[in-house]
Amino acid sequence: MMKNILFIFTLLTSFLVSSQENNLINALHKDGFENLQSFTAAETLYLSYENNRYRFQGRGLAEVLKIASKEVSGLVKDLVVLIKYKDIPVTLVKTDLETLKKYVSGSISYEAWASQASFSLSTDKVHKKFEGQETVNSSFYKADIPVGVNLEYALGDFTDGVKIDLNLTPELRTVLGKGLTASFEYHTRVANDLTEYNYSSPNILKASQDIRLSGNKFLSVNFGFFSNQRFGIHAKYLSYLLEERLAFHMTFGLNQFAFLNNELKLEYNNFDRYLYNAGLTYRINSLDTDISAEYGKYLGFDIGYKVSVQRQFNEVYIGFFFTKTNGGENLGFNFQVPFFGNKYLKPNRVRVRPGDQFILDYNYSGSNDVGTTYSIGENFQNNLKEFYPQVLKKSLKKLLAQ
Amino acid sequence: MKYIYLLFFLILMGSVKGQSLTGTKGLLHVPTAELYPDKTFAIGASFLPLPYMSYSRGGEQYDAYATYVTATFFPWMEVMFRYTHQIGNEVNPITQYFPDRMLTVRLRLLKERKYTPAVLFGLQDMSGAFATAGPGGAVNYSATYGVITKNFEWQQWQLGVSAGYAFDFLDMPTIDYKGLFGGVSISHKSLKNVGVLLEHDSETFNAGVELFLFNRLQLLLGAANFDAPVAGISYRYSL
Repeated sequence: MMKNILFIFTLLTSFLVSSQENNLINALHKDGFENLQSFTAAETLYLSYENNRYRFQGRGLAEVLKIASKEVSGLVKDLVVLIKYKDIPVTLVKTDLETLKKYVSGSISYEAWASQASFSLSTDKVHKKFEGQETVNSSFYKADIPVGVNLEYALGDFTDGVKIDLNLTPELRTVLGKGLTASFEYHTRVANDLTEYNYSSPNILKASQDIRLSGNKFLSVNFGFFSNQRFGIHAKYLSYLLEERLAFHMTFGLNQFAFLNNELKLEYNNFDRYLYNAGLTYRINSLDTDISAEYGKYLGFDIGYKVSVQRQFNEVYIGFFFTKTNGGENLGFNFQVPFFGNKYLKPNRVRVRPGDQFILDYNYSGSNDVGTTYSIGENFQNNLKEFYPQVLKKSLKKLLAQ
Repeated sequence: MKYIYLLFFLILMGSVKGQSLTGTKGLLHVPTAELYPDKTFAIGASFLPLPYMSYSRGGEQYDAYATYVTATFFPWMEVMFRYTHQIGNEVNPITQYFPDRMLTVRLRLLKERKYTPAVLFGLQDMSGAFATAGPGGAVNYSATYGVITKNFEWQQWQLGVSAGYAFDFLDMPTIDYKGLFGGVSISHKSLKNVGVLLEHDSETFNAGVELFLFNRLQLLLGAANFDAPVAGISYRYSL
């Protein structure tokens, strides 16, 4: 008799927990989150998701936690959330569910909730637990068309004070598999008195494979046409040594000048194909500020170093840089700001949305041609800063409580 | 005429401290040792009349206006980037004129406390200090200074007092301020959005009124040496 009661109780409990998981996954699917997985073990609900709906990853996490606090009840004690990007696990968040519910409802302070929550880039152990779980709403084979704006400029002479090259930059981007992205970006010239290439043209056509190695290491391999008329391979290795506080990065480019001119004839040279750099970045978490130093060989085949300080204001980045190579030196600042709209349409077979970021480097003094690089376009590793544990954690102070 | 200006300014009272005509936080022309809260951004423009606030204070024929972006980049550091345009002067090979660019960094060394003032070190138009202006480069508004600011309250009145000293630094001559400068901001709690500014910028006495609207927009109106109108407008936003 006792055995039967225990059996029925266990059955009922697992049914209720399973029902909660389904409700949670359905609610997140309905809101546009992708690559959803969940399971429950030892009173802990494990959830993984990818956010391509909300522009800022902190906002995406806030929405997920709000929905989880609503859909999951007392049978679950802890919530573990694995945040993915291109189906690659990036950040892990753990919280006591009851405390989360209290914070979301506004009955306790951010500090009371944050003191028990943990955020980390170390995802290996938890990610293994998701193996074999069903994935709901895959992010693969969906075409995203971000339309951005690109501005290059230089101070001119006394006949033309400021020379600009202004382009609309529609891009066709699709994720074909875990970390595998195909991308085609076209530059539609709006105004140009800066360069000799005075016609609209493809800017980037590439395939990239991003891989997460064990122990917070990432590798990115890109092949195709990049900006500045470079064609070839570009690889980047990134290793986080103390979570996000210290990172070692190394890039290697084996590519050459090549492009189709306005008569669709191939122009190229193979003067020098090897470009490289390596450096360290230290992050001051209390100020969300990166201090970086790198040494390498740049696009003008000049060899030297760059130092920079960049502060992150959630999605806005402002920084200062100094470059010195055997080609000269350059001092300036740069900023990145998002385009309009906090929330995009739900990812679908085809989705048009504003571009990722407007990026501008301002050379305050020195030469424009020192320490230049080409762009490989949208890049997994460059976008990781929004996933940094402390950035996500701090953003929830504004975004999560009612 | 100058006494009419002075009387007009003394009629309007309040407690606000915003962008100076220069673009950094300050009174009318002189800087103070205060900064906006961390992550605050301001964009603005100001009118700088001859003969008091022109390029290098003399020798130029044009009034000017400045456009700037200022950010409290760290809680203890303000950064400002500004273009200064001569009104009516054209960029062409004959005039050989080009708008002036300047970068300013201000470091607050001590925060104001109950008995001690805020202390700040400023590098205005700083490229000259590090010889990065390059061949043909120009430092028209350079100044290196230390400044202190202390606020006092008396009944419903608030008084902010600032004093500083500008000096040559490395290869950079001090141009915009020379030697001692200082000033006061006066405000009344019943008119929190309005303030009166009186200052000596090391060469002339200036006075002005500032008005804050919607906690975002600042309007600045004043007179340099009590006889030349100056004006500014700025919008600030916290990320």
